[in-house]
Amino acid sequence: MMSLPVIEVKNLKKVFKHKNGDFVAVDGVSFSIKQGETVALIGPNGAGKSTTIKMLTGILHPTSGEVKVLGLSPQKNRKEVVAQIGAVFGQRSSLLQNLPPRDTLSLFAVMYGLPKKEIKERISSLEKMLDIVSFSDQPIRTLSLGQRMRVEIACALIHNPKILFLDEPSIGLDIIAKQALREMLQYLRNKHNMTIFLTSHDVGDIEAICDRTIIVNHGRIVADEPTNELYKLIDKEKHVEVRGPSLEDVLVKIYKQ
Amino acid sequence: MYKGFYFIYIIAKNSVEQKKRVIFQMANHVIFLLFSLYLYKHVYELVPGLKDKLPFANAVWSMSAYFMVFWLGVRNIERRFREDIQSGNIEMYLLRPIGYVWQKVFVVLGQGLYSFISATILSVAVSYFVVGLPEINTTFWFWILGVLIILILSQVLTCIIFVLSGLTGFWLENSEPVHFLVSKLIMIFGGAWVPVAFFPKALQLFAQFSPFGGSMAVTFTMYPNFPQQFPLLLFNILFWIIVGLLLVRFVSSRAFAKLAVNG
Repeated sequence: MMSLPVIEVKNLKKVFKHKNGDFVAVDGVSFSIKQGETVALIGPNGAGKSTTIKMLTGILHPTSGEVKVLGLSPQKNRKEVVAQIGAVFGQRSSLLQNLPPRDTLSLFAVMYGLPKKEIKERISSLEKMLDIVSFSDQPIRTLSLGQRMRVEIACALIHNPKILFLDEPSIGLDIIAKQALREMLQYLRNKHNMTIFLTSHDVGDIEAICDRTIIVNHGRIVADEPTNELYKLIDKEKHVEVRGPSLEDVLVKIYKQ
Repeated sequence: MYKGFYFIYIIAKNSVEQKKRVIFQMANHVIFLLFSLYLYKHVYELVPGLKDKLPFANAVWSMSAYFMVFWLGVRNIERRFREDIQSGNIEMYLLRPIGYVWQKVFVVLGQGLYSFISATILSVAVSYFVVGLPEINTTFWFWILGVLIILILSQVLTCIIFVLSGLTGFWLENSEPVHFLVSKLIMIFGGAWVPVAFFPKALQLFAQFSPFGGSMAVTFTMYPNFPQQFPLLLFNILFWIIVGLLLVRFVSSRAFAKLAVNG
């Protein structure tokens, strides 16, 4: 059920000061996202996607403009906001390399103030949901990239957040792991009505998960459309294409066999 | 409080998984301790008047105390800040409901915990077997209580000093020179190179009442006049802790607003 806006961004601007001059990473971006929406923020490298997601999660302070997440400023009310959001950054890790996933998950559960009685139950339900059970006793350093990503997502979900932010979550994953990740995010969207906001260079992620796509370039929004209507922006002619399975689908089937 | 202890426990568990590292560190510790002991003994034989300033047993215990807290590794807070700022990994910590500075303090304490406990046991054992207990003008239990109070508070002060030095990284990008300066000042005025009892009088006073000496005040707890110095040492450390906390609060709010992590 879609209802209230959970993310509101007005005229957001971020300027990085460098010795060689200022760099405008985000230049007057405005949008709002309702509860339960799954939105992709896409664009070429340096377009301002990651900077935007970092301002939404309270990591970076905007140069000007306004950000509200669940009605709060992520910068002024950092602790209240992070207690209600989950975030996974594909190029970074929150995991403790020498310990099994269960220990990192329990640390996150304690940090988020989950009652002691609930911690075991929550960890075991996430292990089942994200298919972590088979390697939950192995040290993180022995896991594959795909398995680590599942644990990262479990950490981000431990406190049952209302919004999940993902910055290039499928980076470096093979197609099987990518597919598992997409299925996981579809499940969160469909079963938990979770608001998902992601940045990705992988069109497959966006098609599979996101209802809506915001395209940014040079720090500005150039399109904000339902994902399945994006083609209208460029199609001048109507044409019908009949295709077999994509190469990606073929490889997934071969790997699974 | 519980969150902090649990954080330290999990990090300690993560670091002790590399048992060989801790064993190697402790072997280093004993070698350094025995080597320093041998040098001190030699210097005391060369300069007979030294024992009037500080008896040999007290000098040995003072040095042991320094090595003991060395392995807790609180000085590594600055390095953790620097690594996070330079790699951009700081953003992962800012997504958590505990403040970044606290997380780094817990990480460093957790990583140094087993080494500190092992080093303490070894320091006490080696010093006791080599020179017996130091001569302190008070009862044994008052001395132990005083040592514990000064040990805890001086390490709190050390944390604050290195947090402040780490926070300079938000402006300098590489806070290593600041860390070098601060750690050397702490070593000099904490009596790591030469016991403070051998310093000229004015420098002795500066060492005992500066934040740098205060952060290593545990070495002064091994001096014969520790009971007489205790109230002043305590006041000095508490004073610098309060000043330091105010500075951390002031500097950190500006530092995080300045953070720039590119895509």
